[in-house]
Amino acid sequence: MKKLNITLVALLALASVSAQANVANAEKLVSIYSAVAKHDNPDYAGPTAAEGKFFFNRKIKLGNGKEMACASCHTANPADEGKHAITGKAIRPLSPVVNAKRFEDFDKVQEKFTQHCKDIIGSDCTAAEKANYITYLLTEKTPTAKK
Amino acid sequence: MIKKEVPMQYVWDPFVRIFHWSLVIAFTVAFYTHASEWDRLIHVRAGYVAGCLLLARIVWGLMKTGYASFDSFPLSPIQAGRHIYNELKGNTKRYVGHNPAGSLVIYAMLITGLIAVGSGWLVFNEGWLIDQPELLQSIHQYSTWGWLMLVTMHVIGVVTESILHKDNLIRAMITGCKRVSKKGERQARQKIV
Repeated sequence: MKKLNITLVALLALASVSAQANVANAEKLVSIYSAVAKHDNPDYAGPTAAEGKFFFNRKIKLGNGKEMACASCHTANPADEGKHAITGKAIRPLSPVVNAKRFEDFDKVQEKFTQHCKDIIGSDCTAAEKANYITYLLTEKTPTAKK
Repeated sequence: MIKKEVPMQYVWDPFVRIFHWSLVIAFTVAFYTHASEWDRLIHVRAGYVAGCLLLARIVWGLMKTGYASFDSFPLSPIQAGRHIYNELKGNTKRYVGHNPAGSLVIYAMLITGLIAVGSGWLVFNEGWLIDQPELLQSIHQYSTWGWLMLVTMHVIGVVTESILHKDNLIRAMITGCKRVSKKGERQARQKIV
């Protein structure tokens, strides 16, 4: 039993340092959100990167009259480093393909996702929107500088 | 019937009182602004204020400052347990400064508070010093919720002691004065070094 525990811990540790695991995590989240979307709407056709890209760049009018999109902080390319609109701090690339530290922790991703949606849209995004979004992130594999 | 004036004594110095209520405000502001990115700068500043207050309080505690000095409320988990046990048995002792159980919570709050602010500082300056964003975020979350739990314990303790010893500890933290111990209570007073 103890041996099994040690093996499990070692495997978990290995999984958390592997960048590939984070891409797999992101893909798993896509399938979870898609399943929820399918449950909400039986006609749901599945996530598309194109819709995700549109959502990412879509400017939303805020209460104070300003317009804001995901891209406002994260830039138009999620594989690039972004800049926080309020603090000016650098934000590491969103794409798990480029940034191995993304999608390490499911709970954190879901929590942040909901919070960011509330910050910009005023309410949580739908499961379908989230599935599109992550699908799009996974397609952005190269930072602009290397293109 | 004429109400007899209760003799009062001076316990909490101005530094301790200002520190206490400033920390309450800083913690409340930081807690209220923790979630939204729009409030990020306010949250960070409130956190820095809380951190500076905690450090100042520790320096103050290391000085010979009477009831505020760490010497007057030593850290003793055994004594703290005994105090709670006696309290549950109905055999309570009144302490003019912090009682042993309260002291334990105070030390826990000081340490947890520093961990909360320190981890928050590292989360805000991502990639600096320790490059483990998710781990740091977890430490920051658990320590702040832990801090909130300690605050709850602190408040429960204050209310309990206030009722048991017919004291108003909240007012004491505003005016600095507490009632003088009665004759029978006196032997229970903590020795001030």
